[in-house]
Amino acid sequence: MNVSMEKQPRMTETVQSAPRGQEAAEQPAVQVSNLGKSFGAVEVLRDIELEISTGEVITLIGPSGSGKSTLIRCMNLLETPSSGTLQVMGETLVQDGKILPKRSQLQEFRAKVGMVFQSFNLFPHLSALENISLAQVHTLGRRRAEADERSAQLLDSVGLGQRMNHMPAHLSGGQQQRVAIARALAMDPDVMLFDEPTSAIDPELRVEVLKVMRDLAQSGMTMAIVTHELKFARMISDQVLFLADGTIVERGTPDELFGAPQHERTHQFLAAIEETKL
Amino acid sequence: MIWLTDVLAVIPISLFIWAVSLVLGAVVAVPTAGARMSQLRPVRILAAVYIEIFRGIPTLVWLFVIFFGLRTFGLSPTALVSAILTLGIASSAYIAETYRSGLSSVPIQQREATTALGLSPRLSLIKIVLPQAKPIIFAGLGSYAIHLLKETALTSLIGVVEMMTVANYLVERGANGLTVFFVTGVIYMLLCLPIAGAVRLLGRSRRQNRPAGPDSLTPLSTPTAPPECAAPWHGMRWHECNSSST
Repeated sequence: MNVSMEKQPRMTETVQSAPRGQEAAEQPAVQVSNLGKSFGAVEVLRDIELEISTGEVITLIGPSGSGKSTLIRCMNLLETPSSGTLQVMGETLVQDGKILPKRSQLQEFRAKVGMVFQSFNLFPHLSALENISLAQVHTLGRRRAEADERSAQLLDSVGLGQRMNHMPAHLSGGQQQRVAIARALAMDPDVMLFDEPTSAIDPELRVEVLKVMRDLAQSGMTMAIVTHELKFARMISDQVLFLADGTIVERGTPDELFGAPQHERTHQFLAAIEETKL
Repeated sequence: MIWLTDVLAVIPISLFIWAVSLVLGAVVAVPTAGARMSQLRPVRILAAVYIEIFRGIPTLVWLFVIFFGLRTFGLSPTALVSAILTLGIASSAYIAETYRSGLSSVPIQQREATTALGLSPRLSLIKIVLPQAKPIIFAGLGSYAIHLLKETALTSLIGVVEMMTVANYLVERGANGLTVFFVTGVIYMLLCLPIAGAVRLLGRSRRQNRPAGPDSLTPLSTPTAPPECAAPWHGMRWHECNSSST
């Protein structure tokens, strides 16, 4: 699909002046070392080494079943890694496949890592505004009025200020996903994870979600995105990782990976994608 | 039709047995459903065995087992206590499955979303899972409540003085069997109607008929975005935007 968005300069300059900027610059936002994940006897991830700097946008691409979604789900512990180490914002969460924080600390941590799901996962019995306010009240301890105000700001920001009292069933796929992004952002996350955020949306409506993500990236948000939107990945990413069969086959800047892939498997994947466009 | 007053007079007894058994069943079903959905396999198996035993063996058999069988152990519960115990325990097995099916109907992705937002499992259950499971649970519960009211007729076989006992007595005393039993049946049916209606009302989602348009809605609040945060990512970080607004 054609996403008519021009690449704009990242705003890392302003980020560095942020209060947490200098400290954060010294350590990666996310560090994954030697991570592995198995479901029973099936090994879906192995020897994953990954580092995401603060303010960096990385994109995970690869064929279905390559372990992209599992990897991103491991980053906020929706899946527990079987082995390896995971650090987020300098805090070790998993060491040798064991989760270190207690349950209450984990809840706190998860709120700091926003997650956007492929199927939106909005709460169908709550309005758009309530979807966004719920965790602010119960996880962050904000007052209801304060949470609602913040939710309204975010809905305005994603172009849904007029839809705040709509139920999810009355919103299009693109609108639902934008509400889901606003819901994750309401927790003031340090890192945002996107698991194929446009896969369940009609092609015509994808652009509205991609624009929100682009703007978010330009604001300096640290992001990890699993996507099949290669054009978008090329435009938005600082680093692109190609996964296949549970390992990172190749990584590089968008120009390196899409322009001159080194690995045969990457070539095959990109060629197959090109063919499907015909 | 002077006998009709005799049947009507014992309606409160039938309703009492029904209500207490239903509440007992609904309460015992909570830990039973919890055990049935436990992550611990032995607990899950125990709950499944309990449910299958009480669902698989006819209620009448359990009624006799409890009323006559407990005498073997020196216990002699009254007919009314035996009736309530039997119907209550049997109900717990059915209702536990109703709870389980309702809770299981909520997609796992809903729980994942709450986990990702840092909500505790308890809050996730209360705020997200139960409201979505409620219509399904109440639909099942309503059907079972009606079934249970009719099951109270079985208690006449151990001597509880309820509608069927009185109807039987009247027929033995010379009343027209067809008329008496037909009218008694109609009374059971009429008692079931408000139960079905009440359960339908309870199970209805509060948003079920909510219209889509914002004009017809009363907003929960009328918050407005401060101008500096109308698009928080333009030129500032999320945290900066947040701190400026709070």
